Amino acid sequence: MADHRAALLAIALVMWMPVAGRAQGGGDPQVEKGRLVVAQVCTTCHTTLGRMLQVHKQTREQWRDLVFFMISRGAQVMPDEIDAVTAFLVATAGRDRPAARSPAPDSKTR
Amino acid sequence: MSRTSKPSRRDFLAATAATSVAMGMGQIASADPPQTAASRPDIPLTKGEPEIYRGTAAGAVLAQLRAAGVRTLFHTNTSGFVPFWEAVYAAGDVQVINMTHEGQAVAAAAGYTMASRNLGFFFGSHVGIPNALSNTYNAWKDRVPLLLTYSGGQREEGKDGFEWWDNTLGPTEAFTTWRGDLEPEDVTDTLRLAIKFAFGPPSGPVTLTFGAAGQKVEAPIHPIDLATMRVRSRAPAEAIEKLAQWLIEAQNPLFVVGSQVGIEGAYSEMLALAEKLSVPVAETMHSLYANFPNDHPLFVGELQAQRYPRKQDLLISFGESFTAGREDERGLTASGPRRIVHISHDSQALGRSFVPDVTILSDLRTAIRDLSDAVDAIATSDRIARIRASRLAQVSTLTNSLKQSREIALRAQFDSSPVTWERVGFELEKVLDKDAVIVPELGTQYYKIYRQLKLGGTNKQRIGRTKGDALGWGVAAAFGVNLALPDRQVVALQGDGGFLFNQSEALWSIARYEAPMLIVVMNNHSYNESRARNMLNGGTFYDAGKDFNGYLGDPNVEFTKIAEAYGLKGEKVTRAGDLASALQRCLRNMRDGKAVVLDIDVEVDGAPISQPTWYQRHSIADVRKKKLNG
Repeated sequence: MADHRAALLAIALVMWMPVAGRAQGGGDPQVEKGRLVVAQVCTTCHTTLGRMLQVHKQTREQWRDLVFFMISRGAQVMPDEIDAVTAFLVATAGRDRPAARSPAPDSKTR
Repeated sequence: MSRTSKPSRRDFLAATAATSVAMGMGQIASADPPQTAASRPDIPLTKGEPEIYRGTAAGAVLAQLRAAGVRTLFHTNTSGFVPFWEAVYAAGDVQVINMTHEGQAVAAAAGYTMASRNLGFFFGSHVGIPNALSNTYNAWKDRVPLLLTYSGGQREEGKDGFEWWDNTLGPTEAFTTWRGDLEPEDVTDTLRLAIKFAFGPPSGPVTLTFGAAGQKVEAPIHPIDLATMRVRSRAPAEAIEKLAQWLIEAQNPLFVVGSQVGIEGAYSEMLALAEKLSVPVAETMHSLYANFPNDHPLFVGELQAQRYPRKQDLLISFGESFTAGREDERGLTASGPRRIVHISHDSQALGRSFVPDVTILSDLRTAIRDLSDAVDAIATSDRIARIRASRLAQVSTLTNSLKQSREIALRAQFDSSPVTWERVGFELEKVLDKDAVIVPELGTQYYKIYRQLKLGGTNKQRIGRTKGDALGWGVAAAFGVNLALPDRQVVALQGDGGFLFNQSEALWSIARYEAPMLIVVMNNHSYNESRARNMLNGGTFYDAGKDFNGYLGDPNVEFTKIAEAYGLKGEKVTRAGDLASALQRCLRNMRDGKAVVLDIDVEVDGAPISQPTWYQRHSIADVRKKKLNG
């Protein structure tokens, strides 16, 4: 039951999480759609999603890749929701340039 | 399976003389099983007298194993089993598979048993018990019936003698269903008891000590049908009827298929019941087998990831124990309150990790059939058809959408290098046989491969990852699977980190016994799973961009050269575009009877860090103060 409470808390955090533009009366419909999907889909596993979004700032491309990555792992995001989820993540935890690189030993590869 | 030529009559006579095997006994297990009551319907309750074995205790053990249909034994080198080897030699139809490490031998025996539903038998030194523990634990978590037999019986306790500790089998206690000593006076009775305990339920490893194996005995040998060894159970009719009523009335039911479906091989029954009412089917994250075809429109993936149906009102677990921890708990609670029914053939699994509304103790196959019959008895065929059609449309819409999303995700980085996990799965699906067997030992990224492979049903079979998760299991387990299923393509899917957990030893046996396997090393040069989890919520090391234990790229292991050291083929792929042709070369080598290690540079995922190749450096060469001679 502790996990159920944690999931509910995570949903609440996501639903109230501030996004860029919202404070100025934004409310981008795509971002809000993404918010709902994230609350439904991601928080079932990521009960610390609020913290994760505070910590991990990514570019749009990185967030989009991560959405693909999670779909492949089983996240139930529908085709028409991919852009919306990406938009929400960018609005919540975006950055302009990549902060890190992958740990391949040969830096010539991605 | 054995390529060992049968001993000549002269050799046979010499061996039987050496082991005092009675001439008549040598034919017991190789001939048809002695006539039993079951084959004599005129006296159905009469049980025939057992054959009496006269010879060494070791010979009696082998005779009883053979009478149970066991012909494949796993071994790691030790002295102390000469009488047993002599009996094996005399029998002529028993193959001993030598492994170079006890832990790998237990994993191979487990893989063999899971694929064959036979009995896994290992014999080796009691000093190797600690080596074997990790994979004994895995076999216990996977409920694999194994007999693990160790040299050395009871000795004088308390003296800290040579190669000795008190309570020899004590270290195995947590991971076994029973422990015993094969004493000469009742050696085959104890062995039969051990087999019974191994099959349970709960099934699992049994450990035995086997001391005076050369001692002369007269021991009864009973024919054993391993398929009937597991204690059977069947649910009361009223429980099934109640469940059938719930199932018909439920608006949004969900099935969870668990490992016991695979253990019983009740795949077709499970599929038929799900299709009868178009009930969506999920699995848990740690499902041991592909218990339901993952390309079926009713298959909705992981339980914990379920988004639809939004208001589930009935969840029925078919043989899933939900003992995997937090993920399972989330799966059971994330959709809010609903009726939960747990069906299991293992009474000890029922209600162990959560409290269901109804628990049903029954063989899975029987319960599924009973439930199906009860549904037919309660609902008209028209009603069943209406439910099936309307729900199938809903579930298919969901699963089709998810399939489209996965296709988009696959194509997004299709040509990227390092290769994506999705691409590896995609290419494997293109070239592997439809009935290939996949034996994975990967982190949670495995789903990125699974989703591209057609698994379950009449498609590819999956065995693993072990629910125990103790690394160092997969290569040997896959080898055991190949021993059991020599006509099937067997593919071990390994992480580079997992491979480095003592797994190269298994290549020795793979080479010696010419197992034409494909061993894929998903090489991201890191313990990516633990790194991603460690970094998930930030913290000191994430801020510093440093990971103390995750980076494996220095030294950068050439897994192909490890393969070559054992006389096997190695293939290295660093670019996505080269994967298909490399796989074709691998398959050609496999057709020639050679295993191949395919080392693929794959993407790292999870939270990226700023210094991904950093590790805490230390050089003995630099800190030494004294120059070495020479």
